[in-house]
Amino acid sequence: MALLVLATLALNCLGGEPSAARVGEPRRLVVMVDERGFESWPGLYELEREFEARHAGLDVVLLEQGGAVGQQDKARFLLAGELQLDVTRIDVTEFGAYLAEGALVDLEPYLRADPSWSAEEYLPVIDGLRDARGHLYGLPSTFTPYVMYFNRDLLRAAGLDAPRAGWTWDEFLAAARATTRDSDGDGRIDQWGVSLTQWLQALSPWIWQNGGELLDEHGERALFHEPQTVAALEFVRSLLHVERVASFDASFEVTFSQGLFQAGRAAFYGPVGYWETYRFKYIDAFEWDVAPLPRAAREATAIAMTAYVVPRTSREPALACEFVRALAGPRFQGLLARIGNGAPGLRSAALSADFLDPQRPPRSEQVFLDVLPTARFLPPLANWRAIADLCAAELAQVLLAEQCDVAQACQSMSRKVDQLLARERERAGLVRLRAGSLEASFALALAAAAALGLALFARSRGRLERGEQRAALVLLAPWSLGAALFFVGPAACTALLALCDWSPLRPLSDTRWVGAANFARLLEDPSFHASLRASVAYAATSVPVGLVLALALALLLREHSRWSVLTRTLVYAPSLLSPVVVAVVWRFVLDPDQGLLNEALLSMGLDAIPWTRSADAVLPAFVLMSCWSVGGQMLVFLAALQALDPQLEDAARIDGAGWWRRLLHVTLPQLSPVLLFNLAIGLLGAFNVFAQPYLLTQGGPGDATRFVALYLYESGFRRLDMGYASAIAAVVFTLLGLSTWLLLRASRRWVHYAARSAR
Amino acid sequence: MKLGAKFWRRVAMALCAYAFLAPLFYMLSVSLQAEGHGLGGSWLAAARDPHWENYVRALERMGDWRRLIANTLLVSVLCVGGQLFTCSLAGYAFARVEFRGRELLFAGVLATLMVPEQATAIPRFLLFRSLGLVDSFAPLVLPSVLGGSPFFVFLFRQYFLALGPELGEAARVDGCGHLRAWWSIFLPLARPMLVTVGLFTFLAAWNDLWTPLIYLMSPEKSTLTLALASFNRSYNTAVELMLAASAMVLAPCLLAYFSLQRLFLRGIAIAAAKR
Amino acid sequence: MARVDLKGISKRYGSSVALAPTTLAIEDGEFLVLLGPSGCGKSTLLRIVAGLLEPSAGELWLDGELASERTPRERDVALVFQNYALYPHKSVAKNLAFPLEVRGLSRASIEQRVRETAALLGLEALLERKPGELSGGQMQRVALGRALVREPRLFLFDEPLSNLDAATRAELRREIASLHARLAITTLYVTHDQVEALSLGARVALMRQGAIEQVGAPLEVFRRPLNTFVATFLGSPPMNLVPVSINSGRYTLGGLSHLGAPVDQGALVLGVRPHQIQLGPASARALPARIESIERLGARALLRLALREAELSVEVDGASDFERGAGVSVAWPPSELHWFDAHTGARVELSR
Repeated sequence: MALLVLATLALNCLGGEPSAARVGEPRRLVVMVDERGFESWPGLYELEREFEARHAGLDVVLLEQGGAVGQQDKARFLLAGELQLDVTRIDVTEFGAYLAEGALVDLEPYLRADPSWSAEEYLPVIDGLRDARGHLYGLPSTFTPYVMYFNRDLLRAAGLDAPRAGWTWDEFLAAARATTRDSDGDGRIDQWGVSLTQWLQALSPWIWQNGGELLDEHGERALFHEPQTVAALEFVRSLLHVERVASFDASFEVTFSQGLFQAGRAAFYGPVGYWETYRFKYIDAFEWDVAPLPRAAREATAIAMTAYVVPRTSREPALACEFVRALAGPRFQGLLARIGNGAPGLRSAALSADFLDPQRPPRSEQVFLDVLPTARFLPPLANWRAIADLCAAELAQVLLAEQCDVAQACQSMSRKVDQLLARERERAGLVRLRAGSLEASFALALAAAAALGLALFARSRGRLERGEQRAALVLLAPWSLGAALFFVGPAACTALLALCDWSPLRPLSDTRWVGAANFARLLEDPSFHASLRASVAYAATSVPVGLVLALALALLLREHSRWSVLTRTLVYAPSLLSPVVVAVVWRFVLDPDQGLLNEALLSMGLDAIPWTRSADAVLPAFVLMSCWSVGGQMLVFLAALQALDPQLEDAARIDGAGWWRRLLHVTLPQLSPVLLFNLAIGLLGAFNVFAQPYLLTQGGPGDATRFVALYLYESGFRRLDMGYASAIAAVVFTLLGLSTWLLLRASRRWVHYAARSAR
Repeated sequence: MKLGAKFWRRVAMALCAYAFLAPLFYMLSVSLQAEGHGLGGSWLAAARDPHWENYVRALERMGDWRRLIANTLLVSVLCVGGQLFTCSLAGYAFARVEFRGRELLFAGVLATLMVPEQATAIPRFLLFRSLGLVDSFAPLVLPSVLGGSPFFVFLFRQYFLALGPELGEAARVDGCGHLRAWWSIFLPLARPMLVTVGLFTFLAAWNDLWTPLIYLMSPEKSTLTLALASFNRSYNTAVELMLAASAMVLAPCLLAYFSLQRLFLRGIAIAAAKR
Repeated sequence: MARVDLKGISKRYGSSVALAPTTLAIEDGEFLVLLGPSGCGKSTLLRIVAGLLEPSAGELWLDGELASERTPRERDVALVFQNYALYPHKSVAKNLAFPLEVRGLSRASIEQRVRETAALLGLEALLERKPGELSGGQMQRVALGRALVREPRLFLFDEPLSNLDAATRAELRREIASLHARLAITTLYVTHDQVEALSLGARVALMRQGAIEQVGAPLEVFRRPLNTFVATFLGSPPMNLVPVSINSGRYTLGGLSHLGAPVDQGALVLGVRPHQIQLGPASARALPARIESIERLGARALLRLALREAELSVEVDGASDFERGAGVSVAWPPSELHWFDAHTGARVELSR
């Protein structure tokens, strides 16, 4: 009964509108513009104080975005929850998606109302923040065109000059050839011409320079399959696989470890943006600088930018716009000119000595401004996160695989992107879900759960049995209340969402019904199939390997001695680490060029393995990583071993059974319940693995580590397709449930429980 | 011969200890590197010139670290207490109370283990929002306090089953109701399992990043992992500081584990051996 | 103290019957033993009386009050378990005090009762120990104390001595008997051990496959078993059962025809207890047999005899000097013969 009451209560709350600011409370301005972490905070605090002083009774709240992990997640949740967020910072690759979902406030009216406003104060990059009518939806924070970094010392040693503006692909290739060396003559290249960056935005300059385009001018069709694009990718591929002047070490957008360039082992590094100067400022072993990208048919480069915007959940759009102007104003832009990830968008700041400081490397900051006329944004009409994700598998294949039909891969990319674009166009025509449907599904699930419980209780006879039933009700009440509220209800909402189209940028009321379409897409989505295959492959290897390793460790450490107790403790210690730290540590251990593991292999005279770069090696790498956290399973085995009946083993010993036979015929059968336990838990864990691929490989190379949990997350939070993500959840739930059930059924054959019955 | 076997055993143990310790050791060595050397520096450099001030700087960067610790500790302890309470109650009910539909209900409990967490996050967020609990510790704590992980219910059930039916019967004949039997007989006997589940919960709460990230807004409610995460930037991570901070965040977990490992082991043992 | 009435009590689990409808009365102060092989439903019956199981049908009356729906607490019964079921984390004193604490007695009276009970059972020296530090016999003594301490209306024992060694078992058996004699609390005692049943019980109820086969005073049950199950279950070695065919009031055995069958025609089973068989030197007129094996047990010896169509076990004085393979003649007093129906196993009374 209490359950029902609470459920209705929760229901009412869920349906209720978020409470508006109460009268008498100070007005708040919620700002989330985490900029270069710690160094920007003093400037932000200053802005906050100034703004509060200017607007009496206003409270400016500065939120942390939470670093690189889940950087955008918080904004998603705030928008989905209709919570006040007045100013935030987004990446322009997301601008199209925000615009399409109506998640941004048009700043044009507010700007026009201000006589002091002039767009001329900004560099032309500001045009990347306009919609089709030319209305501004944000102001630039910092931007950076993609350029080429070079090691002046290495070039000089090869008798080459620094690249000049307008240099060509051929000159670039020649320079790369001249600087690629095997200096110790061991057959392995140890100095590379170029450390080549390989994500979509870094690759697009090559395509544009060759005369290709990514999308047509309406943003309705992908043009990857056109010959110029294919030829451009063939060229990049040849650098890696034919000319062998390019290394693979920069295949990730996010990296913690020193790249080859930083280590002085690559002459060129790029195409890449201004942000790398932060890492490179510590380089003192050689002189480095930046140059424009080499050209082919035309000059072109990509541009990355972050912008301050006012999301639709702003309660104070006018003030928010004012705050955006302050952020994009001289003082803060001046700060960013010194510490930013790119050039400030404000013309005066970008041209100031703060940014162009000749004392601070690179010497030629001017290059970042000089290439602007040829720099292009990704077309603002599309959800570039989604497009980049869709293309990731093919791009990885094009660049990393030894053999690849580039034209075919490009065709496949075009096809996938076309489907995505078509779906986005169709979205507008979908039927809206009736208001309150999600709340209803939540309530329905709670009611169903309560009804099931009560039905079970109602069937009892006799006072004693009713007493037991009542006791069970009381004992289970706290747990099931929580499970119902925080689990069953949300799961029911998810189930309904699986039949809908909804982006977390939109209000929940704008959920559209698509029926089984999400599931139909799942059937035909090669990335989903790849992620399922990856998960199955990972589970099928990591679980048995983990079991065997855990058992071996347990057998090794079962004796009672100080040493084994100490070793046990150490073996379990890594399991205490947070997944974030595990991923950071392993990122270095597995680094193909400088990682601990490969250095160990090399020092033993073995070949280095491209752990995180090859689709074949990355799975073993993950299995290896999972072995590091095998301590828990080992403890389970160890504990079970200590509880074994020693008589049985003694008997077998007297019967003359050797170590192996005793293990196989005496110990293992007795351990079978524990084996099953570890197996089931291991399977669940393997299918839920998320943090490691998310932080280590972002699913790559290709789709090799895009496990289902990661794919689900990316679908929902990166590609903003929550309906699809929910459909994935439903499928994963079904598959996991089914396989666990089968496992438990099959286990009856091989699991032997001790004679004493459980009850 | 006998000594030989023992010797090789020791060697194998040392190797294991090394293999599992090396990355941790590495983490420490990086945390002592000079600024900018990050993951590229060698541990020799760290040994020759340890930058202990990294730890101080990491602390400084984390801001009001006393408050962070207090917040994290509060959340973790509440989670542990709540989890132990609800899960042991539910586990007791599933093991020792004879009620209709017990098996069916328990299968349902286990089925909930199979729903991916990311999928239910948004509806749950909406629920907490409508309860007005965003930017409070409630979303971090309530799901544990009410309705902790089904896995822990399972562990407690296993443990109570393993104790056999007689103790419960004796308590009932002695005049106990189920609540009293749970409190004065079964809970005191479940100490190893309480420690096990408590440690698991503590670690999960202590290391959780996503939930605090999504739900907490005010700086004064921030937790350690959030502070840790803000070290982790896309392009300019100060790795040595991040790992120094990580090492400091890890320390209490290690401490808890070392002091409780004996009971921890027993708890796992009993739960795993039962059907 | 209480009188217990079971009226048509039964227990089913789905389609399997754990306890057939059973009617049984235990008098106030009586010591009733439930005897039977494992899985016969005796523990189920005990747990129903304790209130740990709810019967599927039937009524349980305690002292003239309907109690089938009362909780164990309301019934005020005490139960002693085979594995003692002491609370491992509590000291002996706390174990004894627990049922009193649950009932909310004052601290002083709890202390007093614990002291008295400990004195009664000789547990004074063990009060501060934990159960893990006690021997089996001591643990069961504590369990006994925990049952006694709150002076229940009804005492229930579930194979309390099965886990103990022979000497402790005998000692505790005597102690239980003397406690009952002193306190005269109504007692229901479940065991599979006939020695306990015969030595302790004022009455014995034999159970098989969920049903009571016979209830009565130990000697009566021993002397007049109502069917072949009771006949063979009670007594060691068990009663000899030999199927015989009967013609005009005579039965044939060992090639000879004997008088004394209870019916004129048909097939019956003849039963005779091993100690009732008298052996004599082989002779043509007596029933001939050959000694197959001899088991010497000190004061007694057990012989296995082969007749033409059957085997018999015989208990004789340990000093007698029989030899293996020797021929003997077999005889028994007709009054000590038991007759059972060949199909139902039910006792057939000598009507003539």
